[in-house]
Amino acid sequence: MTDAAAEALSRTNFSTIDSIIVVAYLILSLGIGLMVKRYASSMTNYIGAGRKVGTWLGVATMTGTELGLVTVMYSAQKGFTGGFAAFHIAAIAGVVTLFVGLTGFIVGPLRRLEVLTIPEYYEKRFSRPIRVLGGIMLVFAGVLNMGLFLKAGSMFIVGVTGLASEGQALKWVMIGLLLLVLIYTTLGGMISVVLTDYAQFVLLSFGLLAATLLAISSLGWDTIFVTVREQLGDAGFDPTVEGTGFGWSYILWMIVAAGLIGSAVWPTAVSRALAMESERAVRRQYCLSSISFTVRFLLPYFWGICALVFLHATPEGADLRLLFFPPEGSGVEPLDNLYAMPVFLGRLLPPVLLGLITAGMIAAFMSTHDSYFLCWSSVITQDIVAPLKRKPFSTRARVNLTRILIVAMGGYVLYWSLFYRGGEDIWDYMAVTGGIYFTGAFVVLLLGIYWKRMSSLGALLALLAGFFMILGLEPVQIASGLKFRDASGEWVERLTSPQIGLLTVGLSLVLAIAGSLLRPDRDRTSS
Amino acid sequence: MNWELLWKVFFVLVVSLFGVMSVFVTIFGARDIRRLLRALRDAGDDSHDSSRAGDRNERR
Repeated sequence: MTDAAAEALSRTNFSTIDSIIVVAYLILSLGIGLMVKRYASSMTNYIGAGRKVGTWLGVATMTGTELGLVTVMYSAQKGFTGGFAAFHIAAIAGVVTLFVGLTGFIVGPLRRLEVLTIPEYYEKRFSRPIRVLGGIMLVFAGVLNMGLFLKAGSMFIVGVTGLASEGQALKWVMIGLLLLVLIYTTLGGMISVVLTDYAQFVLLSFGLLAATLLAISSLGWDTIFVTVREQLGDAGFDPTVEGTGFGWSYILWMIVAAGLIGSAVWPTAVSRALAMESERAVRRQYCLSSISFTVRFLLPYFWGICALVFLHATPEGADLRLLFFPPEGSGVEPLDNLYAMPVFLGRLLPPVLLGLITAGMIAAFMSTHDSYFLCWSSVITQDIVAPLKRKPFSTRARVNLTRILIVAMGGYVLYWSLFYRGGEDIWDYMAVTGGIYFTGAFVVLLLGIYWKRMSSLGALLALLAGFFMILGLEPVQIASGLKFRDASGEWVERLTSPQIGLLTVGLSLVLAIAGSLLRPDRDRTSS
Repeated sequence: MNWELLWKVFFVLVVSLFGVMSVFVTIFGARDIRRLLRALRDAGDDSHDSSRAGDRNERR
């Protein structure tokens, strides 16, 4: 890092009082984890909060989980690169979540069956081998999916606090945050997750709104729109423009990934639905959460847009403009655009508010991590190990195994954050890795619930089809020749990741129907 | 289609709704927490966890 870059990144309003706020909040969170530890004595309590979560708390916890720091980071990145056109993803997420709430699509029947995890449904509907396979694919994709969470979250912390200017800071922040999450999650399970999700919701929702209003008053409402038009043209507003990162195939892929999957199939969201006290509460939770499912994308997009405007339209951002957009031919590598939003916030927000927002963001980071760790580890325990075990598997042994798995996953996440070298946007990385699981799972749930003739063979083939999504990862695309440099040195994609995603869903659907018709389940006359 | 106008209206509408919803979640979410903790306390420790799907399946 050059001296100029270090100097620019070290300029922030983050002060001692902000550090005190952050530390106080973290101590409070750990205190809650310790306080509710005594309730985590059964698996239903540990991973499902005893299925006693009311509607409003359910909205808070679902928002807390889905409005993670990584969400804020990748969304800000999309806003920074795509402008207002990225808003279409927020609109899709909100409308589809509302649809799920109004109809009970997928989540209603799952809650009625009183399953704790989606693979548990696979066994009730199909067979134990399908449950185990579904569990393995879910964990494989899920763990791969969260591989970059730690890095993105830590980049926010070092960006907003000015530590980004110090070479080794990112690594140490990653290790510190990870340890914090591991201690916290292994203590209290879902109960402590739910309680801190609520605290996070209160802190972050008002913090998000305050920071947004401050950004608008600082930059000017009209200036924001005018600058985006100057910098990005029509593509900064119209998501249907092809060749600029979005386009029709991208929109269709978002209807599947950010809409249907994000709300009705993605296990961390569904696990919240399955922890609710009734199906009616689930549907109300989804209707209300449609607003927060929209906001979790919308406000970070807006912050990313504001960061772009800050760089291009204000004298205070001029030094940063050269870092993120070095002159062509200068030979200088642009700074990772994930840093744009946190550095912008570090300069925009006043002390105290900056501390509250940072504390809220760290809480969001912890919330997402503990939910994901808890979700994937409980799937391994409940859906892979328990069904395969011949001897009785006690509650204490299950909780202990789940805790050990959480720590092991922490080690993987740290490794992946340090060594993965893909160049795609984090959101696109997540959509692809998650797609390994959800393309097949979506089809299996959809047909399993709503089509009586869906069979175990159909489910097996649909799940396995998900592996085609690996072709959407950038390093795999380059290795397989799907992405290459042309004679002028420009990258060319034969198939984009969204196109691969849509093809995988189509393939999964065709295989599920063909397999079910070729070999129906003999002992099943109705679902 | 005027995308700029659409996103302006969309942004203002959603942010306003979120502000109202945040107030409701803050108030009624606290009430739900009290109920949750009371219910968990009443239920007490259940060492014979009914959620053990694996065991249930073995008994089939």
